[in-house]
Amino acid sequence: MTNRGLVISDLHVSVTTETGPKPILKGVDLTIRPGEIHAIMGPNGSGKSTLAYSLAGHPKYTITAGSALLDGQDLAPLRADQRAQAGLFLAMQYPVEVPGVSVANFLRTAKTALDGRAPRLRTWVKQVDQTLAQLRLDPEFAARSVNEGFSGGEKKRNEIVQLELLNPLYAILDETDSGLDIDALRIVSEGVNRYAAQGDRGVLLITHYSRILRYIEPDFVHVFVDGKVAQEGGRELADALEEHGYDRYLSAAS
Amino acid sequence: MTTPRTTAADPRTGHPVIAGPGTGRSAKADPRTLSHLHPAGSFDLADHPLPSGREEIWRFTPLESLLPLLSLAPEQLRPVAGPETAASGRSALDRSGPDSAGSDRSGQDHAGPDSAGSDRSAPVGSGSVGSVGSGHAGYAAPGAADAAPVTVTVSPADLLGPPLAPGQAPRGRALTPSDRAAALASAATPAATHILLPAGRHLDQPVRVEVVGRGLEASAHQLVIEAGAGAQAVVLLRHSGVARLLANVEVVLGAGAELTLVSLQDWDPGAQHLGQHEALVGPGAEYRHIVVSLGGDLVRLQSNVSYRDRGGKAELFGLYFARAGQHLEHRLFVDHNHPKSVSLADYRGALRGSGARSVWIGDVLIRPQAEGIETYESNKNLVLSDGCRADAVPNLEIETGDIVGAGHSASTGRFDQEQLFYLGSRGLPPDEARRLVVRGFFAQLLARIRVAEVEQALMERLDRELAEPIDPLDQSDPTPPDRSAPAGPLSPSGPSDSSSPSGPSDSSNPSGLSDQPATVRQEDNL
Repeated sequence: MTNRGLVISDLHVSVTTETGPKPILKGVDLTIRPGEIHAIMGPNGSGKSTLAYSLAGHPKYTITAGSALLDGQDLAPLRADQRAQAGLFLAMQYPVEVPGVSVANFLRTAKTALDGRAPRLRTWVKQVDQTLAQLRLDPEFAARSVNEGFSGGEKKRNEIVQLELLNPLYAILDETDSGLDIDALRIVSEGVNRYAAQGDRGVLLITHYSRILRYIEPDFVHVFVDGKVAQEGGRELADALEEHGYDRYLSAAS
Repeated sequence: MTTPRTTAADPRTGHPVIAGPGTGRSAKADPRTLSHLHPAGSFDLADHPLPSGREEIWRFTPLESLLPLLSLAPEQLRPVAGPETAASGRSALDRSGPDSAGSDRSGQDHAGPDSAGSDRSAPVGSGSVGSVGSGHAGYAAPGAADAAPVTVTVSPADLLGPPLAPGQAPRGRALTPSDRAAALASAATPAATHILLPAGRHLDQPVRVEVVGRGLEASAHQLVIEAGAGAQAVVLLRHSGVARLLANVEVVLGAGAELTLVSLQDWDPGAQHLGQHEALVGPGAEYRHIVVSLGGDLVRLQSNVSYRDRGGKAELFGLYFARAGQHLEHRLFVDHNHPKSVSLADYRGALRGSGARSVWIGDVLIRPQAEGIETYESNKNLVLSDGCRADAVPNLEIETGDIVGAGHSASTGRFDQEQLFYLGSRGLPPDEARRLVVRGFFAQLLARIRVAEVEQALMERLDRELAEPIDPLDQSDPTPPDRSAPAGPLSPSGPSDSSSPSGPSDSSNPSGLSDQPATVRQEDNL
């Protein structure tokens, strides 16, 4: 199928602010085919997270021009849950607390919503236990309220638990590496690699630092500046950024 | 026995007398320090004049619908028909408690339950097996039972003690009426239902108290629960049907007793229910008071706690779900009158539909002598739709410098958009996401109850409340769920147990009736 992929074309997005809509994305072109890992790097305020949120359907962001298609389906008219149903997943930079809802209940509810039926209990429980173990989370973790009182590392690992168990077609990881120590970074990266190793999943990895790219090998690296892609390349681009920073892009943009 | 619980009020107005700086009343000098928060209690109806609505304790309550009830004289109120008279035929004994089968105990067989209960009067009555109806004669006004609009049954019935006249200990030991409703309830109850939880005994099944209303004729009741030293029990007090009821619950906990009292307001539309629940917590005793208000047009409960000696603990939990036209008001007063006492309050409510109204008042007084105490109180309200109003007023009055901890919080809010987005991004449609958030909101509270069957029954109940879609912009209230459907441990334990002789009580609700009052109210509020 030629239209397989997360195809972002000339995407313009505005954010709702108190003073009215403010344009953030100014014509993003990006195509993620199944089996590919794309990294987006860029300075603060360049619109990386806006890209993540607007693709996932956060109500604060409005697509004003261009399009985002998931395997040919236009995402713009869909609610967040409908985009998830279509196969999109966003691992959040700041995962939200859901007091009183246990991780286990949350996972089962999400799986049921996505599949349209409850998972078979026995295999599901085993799968959850196994995934928690792979992310080095205690079994008791499943009984805790979602993200409530979690350390930064636990929150991010919990996002990857969801990635693996919900197993979407396309995953956007929004600064999943920020706030992680070396061990947690490795554990989280292993989870992403297990997911990607299925071979037909697309990954869009948003990060400030090339550090995580030592663990997750990207096929493409995009430099994001002022709401659009300023340069594209392979792994070597990330190394160059680490050495020289974003300065030359920023001066070019201004 | 205890430091006199003197809170001051102008006896003529019922208004609290403010003892603040400059009043010349030094907290240190006067052990009977006055509370800024709470009017003095009094059994004298004259001390509780008919409210105008400007009084601090009445200003949140919709008086126009209550004045007819509050204007009545005690003799115009019908006493609730007591367990003995109400339980003719299939009696409360049929609801086999763990101890009732084959037993020939009756209330008076129990040893005095309370180490401090030596002043308890001698039991009366002559109940014996098979003749339940003959025991405790005079429990209700003679001849009143047949037509009594409200009845109460207790099971297992062998926990019933002698009914208590006003002033007959332990009645009056804990509870002094703090408002006119409670004073009327007290004055209009010549014989209080009396539950004795024997000292040292651990009841592994809950004691069930069913208060069933069948009419709007004004009624009064008082329940006295006496937990002997070291007793452990769960009491499930359930109100259902339709009634206009003024009802007090007085709880006296002996040393080291552990009592969980769940009061479920499961009324049908049209019901009005006011009352005072008050506990006196013995040394080392643990009192857990759980209020669940779901039904009725108007519920107003004043829940008070004080301590008999050092080292008591009280947990006050509340859960309410106010729908279109309902007024659910919960007022707390914890009087830390002894050192090392602990109190924890957590009330949570959801509101939906036009005119849904909740009020939470959390007053905590820490007296000068109450050193080393710990208290925290919290109220959270989740507003599910437009057109609702939630008032939350936490008050903390601290008169000693030596406390372990004292704090409070109150919040009222709508759904958190970030939370809903997070759940949506995991595939949950908006309605399902909202339902999960509300469930979680209450689940945290339910987990504190620590009585598994109660937690489970309440969660099932909430799921029914949440069965219809939640649309934050919609002020209309969808058809409320059939609130009177059996709900496990909070209901009579089976259909065969519907022992009330006079037809529909709590097992079936003619569903056509259930919206009507709410709809009418809605118009009133536009």
